[in-house]
Amino acid sequence: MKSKISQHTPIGWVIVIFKWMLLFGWAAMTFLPLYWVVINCFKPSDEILRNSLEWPASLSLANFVSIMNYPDVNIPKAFLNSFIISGAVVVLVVIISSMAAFALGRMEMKAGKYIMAILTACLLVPSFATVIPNFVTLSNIPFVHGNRIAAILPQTAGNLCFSIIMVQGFMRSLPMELDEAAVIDGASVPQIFRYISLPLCRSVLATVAIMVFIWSYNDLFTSLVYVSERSKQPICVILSMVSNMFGTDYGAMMAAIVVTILPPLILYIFAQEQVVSGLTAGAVKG
Amino acid sequence: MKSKKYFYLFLAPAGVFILTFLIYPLFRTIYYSFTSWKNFSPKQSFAGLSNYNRLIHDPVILVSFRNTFIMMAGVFLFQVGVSLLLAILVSKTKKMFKFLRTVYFIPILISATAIGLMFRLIYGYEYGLLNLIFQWFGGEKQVWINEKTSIFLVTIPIMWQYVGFYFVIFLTGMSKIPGEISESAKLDGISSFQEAIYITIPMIRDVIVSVVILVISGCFKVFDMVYVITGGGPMNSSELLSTYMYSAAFRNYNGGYASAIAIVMVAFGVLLSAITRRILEPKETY
Amino acid sequence: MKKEMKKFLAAALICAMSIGLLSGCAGKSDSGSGESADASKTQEEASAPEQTGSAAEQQAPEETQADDEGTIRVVTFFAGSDQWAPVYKEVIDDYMAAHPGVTIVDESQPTSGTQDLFRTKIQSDVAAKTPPDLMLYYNGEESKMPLDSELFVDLKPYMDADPQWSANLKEGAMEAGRSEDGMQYCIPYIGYFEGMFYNKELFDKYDLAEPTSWENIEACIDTFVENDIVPFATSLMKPSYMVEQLILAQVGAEGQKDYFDDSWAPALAAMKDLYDKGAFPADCMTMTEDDIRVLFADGKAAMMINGSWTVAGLKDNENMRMITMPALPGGKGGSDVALSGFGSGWYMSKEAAERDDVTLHFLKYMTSPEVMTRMIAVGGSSAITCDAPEGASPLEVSANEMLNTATKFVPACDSQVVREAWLNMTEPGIQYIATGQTSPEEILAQSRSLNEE
Repeated sequence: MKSKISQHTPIGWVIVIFKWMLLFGWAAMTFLPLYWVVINCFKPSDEILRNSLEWPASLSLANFVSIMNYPDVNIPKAFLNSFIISGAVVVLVVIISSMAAFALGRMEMKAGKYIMAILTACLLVPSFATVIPNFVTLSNIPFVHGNRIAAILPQTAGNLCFSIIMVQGFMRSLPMELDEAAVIDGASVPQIFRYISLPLCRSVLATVAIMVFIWSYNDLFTSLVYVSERSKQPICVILSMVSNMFGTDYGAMMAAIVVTILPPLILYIFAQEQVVSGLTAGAVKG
Repeated sequence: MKSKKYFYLFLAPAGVFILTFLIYPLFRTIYYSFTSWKNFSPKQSFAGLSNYNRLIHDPVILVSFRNTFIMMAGVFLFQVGVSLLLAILVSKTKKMFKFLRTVYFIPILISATAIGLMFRLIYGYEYGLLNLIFQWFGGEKQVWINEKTSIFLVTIPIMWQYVGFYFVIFLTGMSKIPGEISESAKLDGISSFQEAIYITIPMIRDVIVSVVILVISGCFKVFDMVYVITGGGPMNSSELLSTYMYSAAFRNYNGGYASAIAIVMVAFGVLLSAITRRILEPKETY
Repeated sequence: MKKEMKKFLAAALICAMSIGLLSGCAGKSDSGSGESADASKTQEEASAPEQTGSAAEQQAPEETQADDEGTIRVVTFFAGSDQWAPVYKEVIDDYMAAHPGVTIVDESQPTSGTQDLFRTKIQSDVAAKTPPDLMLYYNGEESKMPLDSELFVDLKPYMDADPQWSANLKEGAMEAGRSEDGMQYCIPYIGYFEGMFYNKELFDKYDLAEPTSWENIEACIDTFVENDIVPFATSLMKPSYMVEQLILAQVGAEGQKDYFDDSWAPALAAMKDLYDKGAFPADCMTMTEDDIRVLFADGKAAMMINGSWTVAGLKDNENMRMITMPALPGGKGGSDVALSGFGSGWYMSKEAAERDDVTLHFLKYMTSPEVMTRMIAVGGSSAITCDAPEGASPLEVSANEMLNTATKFVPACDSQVVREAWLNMTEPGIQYIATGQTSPEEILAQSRSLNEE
C-alpha cells in the first residue's frame, strides 16, 4: 500500500530505504540474543564468562548431556507437564477473559468503570506478593495441593487481568451498531457474544493466547513453589537446576534455555498463521 | 445493550478467580503490613504503623521511586515509540510481514534472566563486550555500571526486550481499521505520514490506552532483569520497588516490611493509571 | 436464550474440569506406582544401620510391618547441578530397592544465591503448615523459621533411644543443631570451612612473601596493583566471606560473639582501606561470586576469601593454598582460630514422627557412616564419624593444615544473627562503608538494632 506518488521522488526513495534499514536493523538486534544463547550453549561455564561472543572452539554437547543427567529431571515428562499446565491456563484465560471483556466492553454498566479500576490494581500485584496466601489457600483445597492444578489456578488468575484489559479495549472499539442490529433481529445476549463479538475478536484473542502461553510456560516461580513433586513440574524448572549453592553453571543454563525455548518458538511460528488470518478476517469484517 | 443479569453472569468466572487468588492475597498483604512478621513464622504480632514509619524514613524507597520514574519515562519514549513506529511500518508492508513479526518477538521468548545475564556480560569489566570494543579502538577499560549509570544501564535491556510485545499488540489493534479508510485516504492524496498521524493513531486510541496501562504496571513489576544485572546496586542505586520488596521478603525474611512496600507499590500504581486513564480516555465512553 | 448461555457455561466448566482431571489422573499414576510390593525381611537386614530400631520400641506400635511401608516427602538441596545430587539420588534408590514398601518422594530443589527458590519453597510449605516429612534445611539463626512453626520434633529422645546410631554423630557437630534450651531441632550434616585462598605462583613471581601476616598482605598490594594483578578477588555485592574473616582476624573467637559490637569497626574499616588502595577488582560493586572465582582461577587475582566449596574447582592447580586470614594489626585472630561449622541439618516433622517410623528409619540411614562416606567423597566435611576419602592435592593439604593448626573453631556469624541485620552490614552496607558514605560505627548501630528487634 505504499503511496505511488511519494515513492518516485528522491525523498520518497530515501524514506523507503530508511524504513527498510530500520526494519532490518531492529530484526538484527532481536536476533542477537538467540544467536548468543546458541553459540554459548556449546561452551563450558568459565569460557562463557571469559568470552561469550566468540564462536565456540568445538561444538561440544557436554552442556546438554549435563542437563539430561540431572538425577531427578525427566525432560519429556517435564515438557508434557508444561503443555498440560500452560495449555489449561490458556484455555481458561481465553474463555473467562473473553466473557468478562464482553460484559465490560459491550454492556454499558456503571459498575464497569469500578471493575476496570480493580482489574488495573490487580495487574500491579507482583506474583511474589501473593505467593504465601495463595499457597495456604491451595493447600486447603483437597486434591489440589502440590498438583498441576495448583499451578494452573493462580496462573490463570494472574493472567486474567491483562487479557481482560486487552480484550475489552478491543471489544469496545467495535461498532455498537452491530449489537443493536442483532438485538432487533431477536438475538439473545449469549448469542451476540458467541456469534458476533467472539469471531470479531479472533485476532486479539490469538495474541492474548500466545502471550499467556509464553508467560505461563516461563513462570518458574509459581511452578516451583506450587507444584512440589518433581514428576509434575514443567520444563522451565530446569532453569533453576543450573544454579546451586556454589554458583551457576552458565553452559548448562544456555543449553537449558535452548531446550526450553524451542517449543514456544515453533508454536509461535505456526500460531502466527492463525493470528495473521485473524488479522485479515478482522480487517475485512470490521 | 444493558442487562444486569448477564453482566454479572459473564463476569462471575473471572470474579471467582480474581477474588480468590489476587484480591484476597492483597487484603492479606494489607493485614501483614500492619504486623511484625519475621521468618515466615505462622505467628504475626500487631505492629501498628511501624512498617510504614520505617518506609517513610528509608532513603532507598525514595531511590526506588526515582528509578521507577526514570524507567517509566524511558519505556514510554522508547518502547512505546519504537513499537508503534515499527507496527505502522510493518502494517504497510506486504513483503516480509511474517518474517518480521516472528523475529521481533524472539526476545520475549527468552527468559529475562538469560537476557539479564547477557547484558551483564556485555557491561562487564574484565571480559565485557563494551570494554572489548573500547580496547579495540585503543581505549581504556571502563567500569560501566556505577552509582550514576546503573539505572540507565538496566533500563536499556528492559526497554529493548518488550518492544516486540507492544509491536504485536499495536499490530493487532490496527487489524480492525477497515481497509477502505486507508484506500480512500490514498485517493485523497494523503501521505503515509499523514495517514499514520491522522488516521491510524486515532483509530487505535483504545489500544494505546491499554498499552499505557500495561507499561505502567510493567514498570512496577520489572524484577528479574535488575536482579540479575546489578542486584539493585551499587549501593541500592538501581533498586526498584519490586526488587526492594523481594529483598525484604525473601532475603531479609521481613514479611511485614515487604508487605508495606507492596501496598505502597500497588497504591501508587493505581493512582498513576487512574490519572493516565483520565487524561487519555475520551469522556463519553462511560 | 437461557439455554445458549447454560450450554456455554457448561462447556467452559467441562473444559476446566477435564483439564483438572487430566492432571489429577496423571499425577495419581505416578505416586501410586511405588507402593505395590511387600517388604521382605531379608532385604531389610541388608541395609544395616537402621535395624536396631530401639526408638521404634519406645513409642511406635509393635508391628514391624508398618515401619517399612509408606510414602515420605523429603526436601533437600541435593538437586539439579548441585554436586551431591547424583550421589544422593543413588543413595535414595538404594534405600528404596532395599525397602520395596517405602516410596520416597524427593522434592529437592537446589539452593542458589540470588533468587533462592529452595528457601521460598520451604517457607511456603511451613507457612501453609504442610511441611515435608524430612528436610535438610539451614540451622543457626535460620532455624527460627522451622522452630517458630512448631511443626518439627525434638530429635534428642530419638538419639537417646538408639545409642548405636547416635554414637556416630559427632558431639561437636550436633551442637550446631541444638537450641539454647537443649532441643536437638536438627541433625547437622555436611560441614564447611572458610579461609583465605592465595595463588603462590603470583607471590613467587613478584618475589613477595606469602600472605601469612598482615604486614605481608599490606606489602604485596602495591606491587600487585602496579602489575595489573587484582590483590583480592572480592565482590562487594557479596562480601560476606571476606567480612567474616576480617572480623575474626580483628576480634578473635570470643569477640566474634559480640554481634555488631563497635569492636568490629576496625575490620569494616579495613575493607574501606583495601578498597581505597585499589585492592579489589575495578568492578567489585557489581561482580558476582562466579565472576570472582573465574578471576582468581585465571591467575588474575592473588587472593580470594571463600569457603570449602571452592576447593574442588581449584585443587588441580598446584599453586593454590588456603590459610586462615592473619590477625589485623592489634587484632586477636590468627591461625589458632578456624572458621568452620555445619550450615544445615535434617529436620523431621511432627506429623511424620507421629505417623510411623518410616521417616525415622530413613533419617538413620542418611546419617549412617556408610552413606556419609559416600556423600563427603563429593565434598564438605562430615558430622558423622566415618572413613575419610583419600587422595589430596596441595590445596587440600594446606586446608587440612589450616584446620589442624586451629585450636578454636567458630561458625560463620551470618548464620548466628538476624539475617536482615547481617545483610544490612554486608550487602550493601560494605559498599557504603567502602565509598565513605557511611561510617562503620553507623552501620554497626543499624545492624545492632535490627538484630535486637
